[in-house]
Amino acid sequence: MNIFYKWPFRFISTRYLDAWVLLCIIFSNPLLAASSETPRKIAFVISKASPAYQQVVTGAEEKLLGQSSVYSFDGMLQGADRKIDQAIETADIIVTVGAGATEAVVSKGPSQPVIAALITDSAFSAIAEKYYASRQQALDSGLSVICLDQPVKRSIELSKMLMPSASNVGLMLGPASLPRLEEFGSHVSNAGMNPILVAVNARDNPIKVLEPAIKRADVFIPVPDSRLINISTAKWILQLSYRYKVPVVAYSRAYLKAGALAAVYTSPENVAQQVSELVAEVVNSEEGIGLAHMPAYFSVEFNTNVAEHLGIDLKDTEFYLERLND
Amino acid sequence: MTYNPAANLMLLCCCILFVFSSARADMVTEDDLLADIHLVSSVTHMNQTLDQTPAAVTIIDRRTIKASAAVDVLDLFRLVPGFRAYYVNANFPGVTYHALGDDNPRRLEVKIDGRSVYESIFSSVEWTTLGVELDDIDYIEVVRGGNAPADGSNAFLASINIVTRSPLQEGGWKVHSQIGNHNIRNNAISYSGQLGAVQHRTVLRHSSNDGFEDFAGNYAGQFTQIALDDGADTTTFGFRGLWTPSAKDSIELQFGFNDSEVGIGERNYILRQIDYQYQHLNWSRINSDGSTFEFTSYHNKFDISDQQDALTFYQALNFFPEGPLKESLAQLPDKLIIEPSHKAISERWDSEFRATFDHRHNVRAAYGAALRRDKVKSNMLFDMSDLSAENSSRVFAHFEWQMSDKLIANTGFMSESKDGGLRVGSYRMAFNYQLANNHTLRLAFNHGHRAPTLLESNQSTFVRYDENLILDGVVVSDSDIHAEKLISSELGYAGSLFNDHLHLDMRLFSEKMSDVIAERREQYPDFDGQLNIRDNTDSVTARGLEWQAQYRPSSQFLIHANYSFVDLTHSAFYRSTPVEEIRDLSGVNPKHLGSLLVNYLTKRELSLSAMLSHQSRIRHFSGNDDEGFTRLDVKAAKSWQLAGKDAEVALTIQNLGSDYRENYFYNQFSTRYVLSLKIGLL
Repeated sequence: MNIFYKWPFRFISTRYLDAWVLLCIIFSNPLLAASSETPRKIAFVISKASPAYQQVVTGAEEKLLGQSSVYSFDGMLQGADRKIDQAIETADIIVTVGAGATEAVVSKGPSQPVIAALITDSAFSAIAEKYYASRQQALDSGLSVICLDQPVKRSIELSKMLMPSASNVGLMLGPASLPRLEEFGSHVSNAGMNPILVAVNARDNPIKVLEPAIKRADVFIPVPDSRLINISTAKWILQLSYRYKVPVVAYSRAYLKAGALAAVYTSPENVAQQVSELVAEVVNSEEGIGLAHMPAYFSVEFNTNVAEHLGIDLKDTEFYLERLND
Repeated sequence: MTYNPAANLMLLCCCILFVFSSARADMVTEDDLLADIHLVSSVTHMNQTLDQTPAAVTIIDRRTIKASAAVDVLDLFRLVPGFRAYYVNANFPGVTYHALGDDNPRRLEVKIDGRSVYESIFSSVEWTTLGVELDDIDYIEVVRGGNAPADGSNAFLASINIVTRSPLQEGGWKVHSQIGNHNIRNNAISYSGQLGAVQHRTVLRHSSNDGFEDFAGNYAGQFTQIALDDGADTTTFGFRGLWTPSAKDSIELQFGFNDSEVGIGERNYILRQIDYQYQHLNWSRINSDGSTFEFTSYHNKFDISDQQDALTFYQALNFFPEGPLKESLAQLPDKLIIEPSHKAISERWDSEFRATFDHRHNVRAAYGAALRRDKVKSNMLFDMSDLSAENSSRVFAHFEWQMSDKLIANTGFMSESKDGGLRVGSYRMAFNYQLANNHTLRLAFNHGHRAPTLLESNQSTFVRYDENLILDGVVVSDSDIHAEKLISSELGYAGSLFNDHLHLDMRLFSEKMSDVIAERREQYPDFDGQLNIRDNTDSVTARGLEWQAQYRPSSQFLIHANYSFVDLTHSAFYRSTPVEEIRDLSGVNPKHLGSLLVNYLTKRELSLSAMLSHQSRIRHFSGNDDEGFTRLDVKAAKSWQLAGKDAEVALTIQNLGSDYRENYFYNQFSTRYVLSLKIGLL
């Protein structure tokens, strides 16, 4: 059940809303109505009321309701200051979904455990440095994070599976990922392939930088960066990959639909699963508080039209998922 | 209301400032990973997925184009529900949506890479001169339903954007040759490469055909023979250059020309020579927060010359009835009154700025402003003054509000202003409700206006002896002509099943058009006693249902089907004097249209296609009806690699079976065979 506070409701009087919501929870959840255990209050704060954010909340709630502990849920948008203040006073755990929501909550200095989800490592670091002076101090203060970014290593492994004969892997980095250039290069080398690393920044001519790399590569992996770099290069990468028949292993479903061969990404369902597990862990043992968690789950998808254009025979998705999980 | 360019400019500056002020620091957030990359943009100028758009959209992508048995661009519109592609003459085709499919269908905006190819002189699209063939196209976005709030007056019924292939998608030389019966000879050579920092694709093409076969057969109980001189010969050159000075900016320059000779007419044919040229510049910028700016500017020029039969004054007198008038006119000296060629020049300059932004409270918007100048010169259409020009401007804004995870609201408007104070507004509102994952219902309302075109508001065609003596009044625009109105509503569904392998789109619609511009007849003191007045004479109501489905169970199979049922009521104020006559033209649009395309691609790169198209009967007010037809087109194409380059040989057979009628009874579409060869070189 999602009791999420929706935008249009802002225009309706909220005086008795919470009481109604509580009653609804009690009567719609026989487990809770019958139990004498005090429910653990989980407050979800989300950046936007768009589907990806809401799917995280809905999925996490559904999974938590299926567990033995008793929970009650509250939901609010990042701009709902009064509701956030109230949640900080009453909630046992606050789950923030998105960078904006995380900032809205940590800026108020909550004392209870906060789990930041659907947030990139880069955004989390920026917020941590702004409000806690350092990433470590933020974690020490009880802020936990479930990072959204899939390890690039996973994309490299998938590339090797898709193209066993590939010897050259092109990797595009942007200003945000450039500091990890050597690390990514070694992942490629460890997989038995030669890295072709290119860095694109906002001032570069992207085609001039990308074309020689894609031309030489057997498979190409764009590493996610700022939206400017992601969007501005995606079109050219996909067009050049079509021309040189070089498969692209991307980081999002949108990229896949636009013309990449495969995508390894964290879906909202994957995030919801990990959030529910972490909430349960925190409730039961208080372990997992103040830790940075890499994404434990991931999704893999393929574009069969692109595979046909490239002459690549795809196996079942399960085949790749199982091997990447090993 | 008067047009105030200063106010529009100020509004634009405010919008730009707002967008600049909303820029944020360079940091990777979940938005950066979740952002959509390449989506539909023709409906609101924002990138939207098909379940977010406030109108029904058909995408004809590269895979569908390759799978189809199409020989030219026009054939592709048979795959779009509600669209009718037809031939007035073999090389003078028309495309319309739901209604009003006359010789110059003029309520459909057609763009190539965002440049409108709707031209001023005939207020229509000259398909022969587009210079775009199937090989050039990346995909086509078709907005089904009035799109005036986004594209302006020309998109009164629907709009089409043909997106051509980027210079990056190909490399080197490519030769394409087609040969077929009816003397079809099409040859093209293209080169994609680099000129300094500019990526470009350059195409040179020559096409010719003899048109329909001469007619010999029974019509209205009589054996009739008609020689059809409706062939065409066209040469096209096109250049598309792309320069990306930075990750933020991309600049595209396109230019080209087309030189065509086309036989047009009704039983008697004239040779129309068209010299067409265009220049198109586009700059687009992506900001770090995902907002965008785009500036596009273009110039189209048509230089048209119709070779027609000259007429002298004494020859014209033969058409006059015997009597004192004829006798007195015969006293005047003879002179040429209709010149052997009708020359016309039509030019358009258009510049548009637009921007998009995302607001954090689930609101996205696109807005913009544009200026346009149309100039038309003709020695026949504007009487004594052979020149007519018009300046216009437009401002528009579109908003998308994600109200909840299930509900999206879209609203948008366009305000168009023209010289003389004419201002029209069009707006749209839509709600998209997600019933379940991949299943969306859409409820949309559209109130569109179509301002009269330059020709419609200024035409004045007379056959004169001199400035004081009119021999024949042909067409004059009514001084009070005003904009056409469209009020439409629709209930639509967009969804996908079987893990996205099956895509469905359905639409129940009601479209009510009033003040539709056509011609009424009026008594006039000339030799035939009649003058056609271009005026707001017609009203049209179209109600019906349409759907499309595309099923791709694997990369080898493609099945595409569409169907439309249109119940049309069309009332035309045909004659105003001496006796009013109102005609019922409800039968001029087929009630049923549909097509089915099946394609199978073998492991050995052999592509086999069959495409069935159906059109039900068209009832003309006078003359015999166009019987309905079902035609079968088939194609077999084999691809292979030749020295590392793609090669393909294909045989297409269109209308496998008996002939059917296209528009006039003597236009018989017989079986057409086209053999094509494509080879990549170097």
